[in-house]
Amino acid sequence: MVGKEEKFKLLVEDNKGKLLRICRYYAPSIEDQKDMYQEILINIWKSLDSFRGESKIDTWIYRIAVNTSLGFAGKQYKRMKLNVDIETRNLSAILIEDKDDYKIKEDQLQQLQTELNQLNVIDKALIGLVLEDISTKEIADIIGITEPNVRVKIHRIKETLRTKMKGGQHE
Amino acid sequence: MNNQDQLTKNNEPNNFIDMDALLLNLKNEDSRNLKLMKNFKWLYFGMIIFYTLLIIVNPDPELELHHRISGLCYVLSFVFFWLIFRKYHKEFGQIDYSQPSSEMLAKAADRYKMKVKNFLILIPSLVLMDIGLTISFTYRLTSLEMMHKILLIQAIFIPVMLISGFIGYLIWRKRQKPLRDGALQMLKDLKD
Repeated sequence: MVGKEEKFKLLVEDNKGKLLRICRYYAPSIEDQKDMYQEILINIWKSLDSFRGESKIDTWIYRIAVNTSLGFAGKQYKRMKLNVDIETRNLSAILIEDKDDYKIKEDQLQQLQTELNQLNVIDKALIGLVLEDISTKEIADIIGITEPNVRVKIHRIKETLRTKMKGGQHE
Repeated sequence: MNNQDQLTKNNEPNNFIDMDALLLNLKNEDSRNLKLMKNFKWLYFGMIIFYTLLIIVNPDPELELHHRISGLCYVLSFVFFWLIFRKYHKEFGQIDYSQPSSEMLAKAADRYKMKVKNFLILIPSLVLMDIGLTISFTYRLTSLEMMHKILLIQAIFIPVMLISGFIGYLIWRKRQKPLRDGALQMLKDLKD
């Protein structure tokens, strides 16, 4: 039987890439990323005993990571940022459906970054999960809203971003 | 390999955070919390038993009935305060970050809400403490008439409790209301 410590180490080792990416999305400085990463690990440790395997381990890990970031946001939620750079995974998926054929240009990035930070905290969290290339079903499980609702929300966010990037107005 | 994956690789979590030290802290924190809660529980029970023995069941003939009645009021007030403390400790100590965000936010908004029932459950402890103080001081302030003594004690006790309540409200407004507002705003954004 694997002990709690062993289970924790394995879990963190297997998921370190996605945990670090989540921290990178929501925490601007290395210091903040370190704090958030530590907070996520603490929350994983605290929740480990209650993990019953009812959801996929990936979903469970993302829930803790997103909820921790929302907890960070809770303290100063209006100032929460979503940080992306030209190499961010799946970044083009936000602007175009056929992401393989499209790469965001450097000059678009600044504007995209600005527009992303105009989104509310929940929309930022949803975009963070889209960047992770997670299915809408899984996003629904993580956030706790229905799958059609997730689809509508993501579609609406993308539409708003695309319109703004084209220089149009979107309500 | 793109730049971000490279960055991720360069910032290996084990370099990012000292895992062994963190694990040690986590395990220490777990056992410290458990120990603290246990110690506090026994300290509280010890105080209740000590006070009960000293003032209520102590056969000392100098202890009159009013001493024993006021002692009983204090002890019952301690018991109520202990039950309230235990309830809050349980409520705040069990925040589950692995539940869906909408549930976590709804629970956070509820946890940080200022509820009338939170004040109502304090009333029995405060009334018992007030009765205990009134009984105990009416026998000490010998120079005043009974009604004046009672009024004097109430004139001190009630403002002290009201000021404490107001300070509690200010603390809630500064620390917990922003958290509740944040959680409510995020829930609203989820539903829109």
